[in-house]
This record gives sequence, C-alpha cells and structure tokens, in this order.
Amino acid sequence: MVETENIEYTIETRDLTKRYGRLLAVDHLNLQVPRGVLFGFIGPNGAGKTTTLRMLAGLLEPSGGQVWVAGQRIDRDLRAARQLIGYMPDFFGVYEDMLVWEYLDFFARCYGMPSVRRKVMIDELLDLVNLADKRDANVQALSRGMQQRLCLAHALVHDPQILLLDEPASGLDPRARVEMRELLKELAAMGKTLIVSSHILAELEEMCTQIGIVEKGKLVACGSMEDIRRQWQTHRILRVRLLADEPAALELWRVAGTPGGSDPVVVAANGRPGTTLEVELTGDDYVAAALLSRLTAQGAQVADFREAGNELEDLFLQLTDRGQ
Amino acid sequence: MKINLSANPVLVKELRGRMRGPRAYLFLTGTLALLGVVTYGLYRLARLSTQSMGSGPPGAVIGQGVFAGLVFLTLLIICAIAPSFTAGAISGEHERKTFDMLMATPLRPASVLFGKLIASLSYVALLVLAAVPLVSLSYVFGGVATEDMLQALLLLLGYALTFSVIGLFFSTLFRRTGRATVASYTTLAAFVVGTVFVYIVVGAVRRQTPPTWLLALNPFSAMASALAGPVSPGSFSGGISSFLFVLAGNQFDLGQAVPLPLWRYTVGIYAWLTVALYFVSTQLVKPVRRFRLSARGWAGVAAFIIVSALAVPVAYGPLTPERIVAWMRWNASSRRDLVANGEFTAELAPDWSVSTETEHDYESGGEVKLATDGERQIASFSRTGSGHAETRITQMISQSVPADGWLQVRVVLRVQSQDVSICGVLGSECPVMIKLGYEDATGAWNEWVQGFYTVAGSDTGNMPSSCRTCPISQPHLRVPSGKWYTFESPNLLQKLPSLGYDYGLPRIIRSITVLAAGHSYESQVAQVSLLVREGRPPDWGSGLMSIGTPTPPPMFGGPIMIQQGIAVPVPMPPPAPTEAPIEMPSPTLAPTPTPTSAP
Repeated sequence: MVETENIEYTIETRDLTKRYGRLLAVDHLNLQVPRGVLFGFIGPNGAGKTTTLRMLAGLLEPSGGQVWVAGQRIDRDLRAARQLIGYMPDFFGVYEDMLVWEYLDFFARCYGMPSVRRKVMIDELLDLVNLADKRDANVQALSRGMQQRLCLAHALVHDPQILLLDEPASGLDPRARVEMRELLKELAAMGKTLIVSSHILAELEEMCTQIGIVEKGKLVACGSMEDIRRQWQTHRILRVRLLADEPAALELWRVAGTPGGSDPVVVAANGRPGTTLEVELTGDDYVAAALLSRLTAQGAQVADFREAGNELEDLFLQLTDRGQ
Repeated sequence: MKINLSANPVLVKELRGRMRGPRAYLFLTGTLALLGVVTYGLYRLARLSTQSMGSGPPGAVIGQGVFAGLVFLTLLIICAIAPSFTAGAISGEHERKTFDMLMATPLRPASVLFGKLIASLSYVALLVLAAVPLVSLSYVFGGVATEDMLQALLLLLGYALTFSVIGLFFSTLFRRTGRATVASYTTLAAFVVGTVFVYIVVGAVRRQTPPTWLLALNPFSAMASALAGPVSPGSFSGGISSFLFVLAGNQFDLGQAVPLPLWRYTVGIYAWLTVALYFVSTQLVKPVRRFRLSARGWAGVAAFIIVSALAVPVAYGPLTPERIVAWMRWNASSRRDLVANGEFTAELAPDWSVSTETEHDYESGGEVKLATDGERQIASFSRTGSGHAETRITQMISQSVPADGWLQVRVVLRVQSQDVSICGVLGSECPVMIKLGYEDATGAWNEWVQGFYTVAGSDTGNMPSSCRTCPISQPHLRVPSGKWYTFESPNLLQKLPSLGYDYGLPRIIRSITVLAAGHSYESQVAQVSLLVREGRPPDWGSGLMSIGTPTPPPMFGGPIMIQQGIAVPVPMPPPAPTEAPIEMPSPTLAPTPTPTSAP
C-alpha cells in the first residue's frame, strides 16, 4: 500500500527522445499519466504517437530519456513491466490457420497463464469484446471491426493495469467506432489506465479524462479537456439569437457585448423569430458567461447562445498548426 | 535450466501450424517416395555393376552403394529444406505484424527463437528419421555396420541443426523473409559449391593437389570422409553415389590429407558456428537492449570463448586426450634415483669402486679423491702423464626399468684441465665420460656413453665428435672450462633421435661409470644421478600445425577405385601434357586408372 502511494504516475516519461537518423521522431517528451486515467494521445499522422507508444511498451529503444512504469524504469525489468502493460498495435497481426480461441490461447500462454485459467479467461474476454459467437472462427475470416476487437482482447489476456492502444478505432465504421468507445469506457471503469492514440480529437474528447496533443514529436498541450480549452481556446465564435429585430439586437449588443467582443455580424435577421448574431469572442468560458448575464440584464431575450463550428477541430488545428 | 517444451507457446503454436492440414503429410510422403525410388534405382545400378565385374561379394557392394547413395540424397534434401523452415521464423513475424505483439509479452525473445528452431528442426528430424527404415535396407545386403549408420545419422541431424540456425540467423537479421531465404541459401551454396570451386581453382593455380582443409566447410566432403571408412569407394562404381562423390570434391582419401578425418573438423566448425550464430540471433531478435547482457550472460559468453579455445587443442591436437592422460600420469609418477651415494656425501666404498688403466705400466693411472668445494661434496679425478690413462669410479646397479618409462642421467661436473684435443683420436679420451651399462630386451649387453670436453686443442679437425669405440655414443658435449656444468640426458628408454643407428633399449641397468681419460687431466663430479619414472612426458610434437603440410593424395581415384574399375564406360582422360606433370583437378570423374604421368 505504501508502495503504491509513492507512485505518483502510472506512466511517466522523462525527456523521452527517439531519433531516426536526422529525423527527430519524439523530442524530449515529458508525459505524466496518473493511475486510472483514460489518456488521449492525439496528434496528426507522423507526429510520433506510434513511436512513443512502442517505446512505452518497451518495443523500441529510446535514443534518450526514460520510461517509468508504476514507479520503475522500464528497461530495468522489462519482463515485469510487460506483465503490467497490454499493448495493441496500430496494425492487427494475424497468424494464418488460427482460430479465434487459439489466437487468445497463444497469447495467454505467452503470458505464462496456466491452462485452467486460460479457458475461462478466453470465454470472458470474448464476451467482453462481443466475439463469443466467433470463438471457433478463423482469425482471417473476421471483419475489420472484429479483428480490432480481438486485437484489443489479446492485449487484455493478462489483465494488465495499463493499456496502450494505438489507433484502436482506425478503419472502423461509425457503429464499430461507438462499440469500441463503449468498450474503452468499460475498461476505464474497471480501473485500468489507458493510453489511447488517435489523430481525431473528436473521437477521444468525449471519453478521455486527460488529453495530450503531440505535434512533430513535441507535446504541445496536456491536461484535461477543460484545462486545454481554458488555456488555449481564447478565440471563439458565438452564435447568439436574440428575440428582437436587427437594429434592436445590434443596439443590445452594443450596450452589453463589449468586453473583448468584436463587432457582430448579422447572420439572419428575423429568419426564425429573432435575429442571429455571429460574434467573435476573446476569452474563456467565464467571459462568455459574463456576457450572457449582461445581455439578460439588459433585458435581452436570449433564445440561443452557443459556440459555432467544430470548435474541437478548430482547437486541434490551432494547436497543431503552431509548429508549422 | 529446465526446459519444458510444452511451456514454450511458440513451439506449441508452430508445431500445431506445421502439422495442420495435409501439407506436412504430403511432403513427408513425397520425400519418402523419392527416397524409395532412388533406393530401388541404386540397387539396380549396384547389381548391374557387380554383375559386369563378375567378382567380389556383390551383397556388401550393393549394401554400401545403397547406403551411401541414400545418405547423400538425404543430405541434399536437408540442404534444400532446413534453411527454408527457419528463414521465415522472425522475419515472418515482422511481415505478419505480429512481432510487436509477441515481443510485448513477457516471453523471452530467446524462447521465441528456441521454439521456432525446435519446431522446424523436429520436422526435418522427422524426415531424416523416416528415411532410416529405407537406409537400413542396406542391412539386407550387408557391408554396413550399425555404428556407421548411427554416425551418418548423427552427422545428418547435426547438419540439419546448423543449417536451421543459419536460416534463423538471417531471419533475425533481415525484416523480409525473401532476403533471409536468399542469404541462407547463398551461405549454403558457398559451403557446398563455393568450397569445391575454391578447391579446384587453388589446384589449378598451384598445379598440385590443393590442401584438403579447403573443403572443411563442405557438408558433402565431410560426409564423404565419414563414409570413406565404412564404405569402400569401389562400391561407388555406379550412378548417383559416384556423382555425389564428385560433388564432395572427389576425395576418397579425405581422411589422410589432414591428421584427422575431415568430418571431425567440419563438425567442430559447424558446432562453433551454430552456437555463435544462435547467440547473435538471440540478441538480434530482442526489440530493445540488444547485446546488453547481464553479468551472467557475459560470463557465459566468456566461458564459451574460453571453452572453445581450449577445445580446439584438445580435439585437434596438440592437447589430444591421450597426451593429456600421459601428461597427468607423468606428473603423478614419482622419481627415484638408482645411484647410491651419488652426491659423494659418504666415502666412495662400498657404493663406488675405483679402477684405473694406463698405457705404460710405469705411469700412474691417476687417482680419485673426495673433497669439498664450497657447499658441494665432490669426487675429483686427476692424473699427470704422457701415455693414455683412465681413472674410473663404477657402481653396480642391477635394476630393471619400465619399457614405457623414463630414464635420465643427470651429472654435475667440472673440467679443470685436459691435454688431448676434444676427446682424442678415437673419441674415447674425454676428461669426463659417463657410461651406462645395461641389458636390452633380448638380454644382450649394451653401453650408452656421453663424453664432455673443454679444450678444443690444436688439431681438432682430425678428432671425432663422438666415441668411436663405444657401443652407443652421443656426440660429445663441450663444457665451459673450470665451471660447474649440469648435464641432463634425454629419455634413454626411447630411441635417441640424434643416433642414426638401431640399438636395443635398456631393460635392466647393470652399472654406471664415471671416468676421466686422456694423458693429463683434472676434472670433478659433484653429483651423479640415474633418475627413473613410470610413464613419460607426452610428445607434443605433431598436431594442428601439421595440417598445413599434408602428404598430397592422388587427385582422382584411390587405389581401390583403380583396381575395381567401373561398369559405366568412361572415356580415358587425355594423357597429361608433359609440362604439367601433376594432374589438374577437373570436375569429371575419371575412374579409369589414373595415368601416372610423372616424368
């Protein structure tokens, strides 16, 4: 118990660096992932996500820096670290001529699981990933989504505390994507620490408790969604629908909506009842809230007050563009 | 380390995959069918050739022909399939994208390698063992002993291991199975064809029989040398086996050109190569921390290097097991001195008896006196005169010495003065001489003599360098004048290489005599010993070093080959041109009597 309290982070990297010749794939990455967190590791293609995850899984020799897993340097005792980590690569590897249960049985043997427990565990896992009816199917005959789930199941055979999932939702149709997301939430609920990589922020923002955004091997932002937003999202577009005609609406805005706000653009006047203004706001959520309360204090009838556009994607683009 | 095979998941999976479906069984059946057809063909050919020769026991010849042919064919099959089974072992995991998944498990990378190796090796072994019943058909005809068959079988399985490890090594080196396969077969081709090519080229360039060790890496040559004992080349007078012997470098006396049969070197090299490549593979397969070993790992590497360095002299000389046993026996044996009062601590009598001899009766024969010289007790010989004289002390011994033992005469002596040149005109007048009287194995009396001198004199040219009147005389030794000199003889129970003639070796020592001779002389002896030991120090002389200078064997056709001829008519090779007296190696078999074209 004392030991676990000493461990601040389940996964921690210190100046983790990977160089491929002159290319700096991962550049002094300092990551800290506390226990029980579902960590979204986001970045555009080629940002160094897979390289980082492979180094975290002890599959790639870092050029510099260290990986600490559960308070231990991973290269000190690789075998112990591997018992703690489940790793799902970005490409699903298939052995020919293998049945689904054999596939899991093989990896369970690799983790040194006794045969009595293997049978029970395989059935449980197949239930968890919704493949129970495919138990005796050939691995190659599975659909992409099923293979992806089987691959996830393979990373779970030894009940690891930490899961490193590299693009678990890539190539899946929307329905399978939702299923995968539910599965990951379930695993997080089981108390596991998950690091999930993706190049699509929206895919992760709903379920992740923490997010790290990586670009060109550097961590550009890290923290909870709110933190990141507060920290980085200073410009936002608001759509405000006031139940008034256009001049009245503009007048209301002129009186109330000055703090940091720029001139409104009238998007629709009296389209549906009222006038919709689109305004650019500088400031965080507190500024937006203050604006709303001032509008209502002026007697404005606010029918709609929301952010316009795919704010997450904008944020993501904004963050990852900075390096360019 | 306990190896539980069922605990290696990779092995279980590989074996399951290998034997799943009809492929494995069809391949096995096909191989056996091929071997069966070839066996029958060999049998027909061997019968044909024995009938046409009309002599000799046909059974043994047929049996040996079938045996050798099958062994070579199996070897060919092993060369063809063993690397292919392992060349995809690790590169295939990369290609299937399963490598990372496998390596993310706590399974040791070396276990993965081991599982892959054992899985493919067991299938190759299955093929080899399945051929055993066919090979043992040669029992029906006779001519092949069980040991020969076992030896060939072990050699085949050893080859399978080495070739599998070569495939495994390239599989860890390259990410693509295609490259690994090409590299493996290229290596094997270098062993099989490359060595023969180099052998032939060296022979052509040097215009003489090339050194046999050039073929040490060739598995076929090694197999041929292993079969050369049990199988007489005459039984290869038909078809496939003679063809394969050509492939093997056509060396029927592979065993004679190097100190040991060639296959023993091949096995050594392959064993070393196998262990080294396997170790490198276990490091290359690791995703991280390659070649970073624990202290125990490095100790293992160091132990391997030391053991293999020690194993070379033990297996191939000079540290052969026989020599090591001889050396240990030699060190364990105790030394005893047959001479009593050899340090002259007591009076001369009764151990030593003094005698003198003179040419002229009026002159003294000299005298022997005991004296002290510093720490030493010495016997001093002196005489002044103009005619010949001898002053002697003799001890009777009568002790037998072991025939395979060791006998050394050890004398500490000093020559103060002498007046004849060297040891006189007959070589019998040294200022100090040692004479050992003994009986040889036939009971005949014999005497071994060693003389010492110090003054070369004026007419040395006429003086003999050894005693002319003595039965056995070593060359005289010149010692520094007036200084103590310690003489240690070689083992007198072995023939002395410096003596050109034959003589009986000592079995019973009868007497030892120390004498001084000449006209005027003064010399001293401080110690006389006759040391005997059981056993003798090993002869470290020949060993690995002698590989470089083999007696060149005939290029084609050993003597048996020539005598027995061949059933298949082969054109006579053209007579060798006179300016090239030594026949050039050529890949065609010329089993007819080799034209002895030496001028």
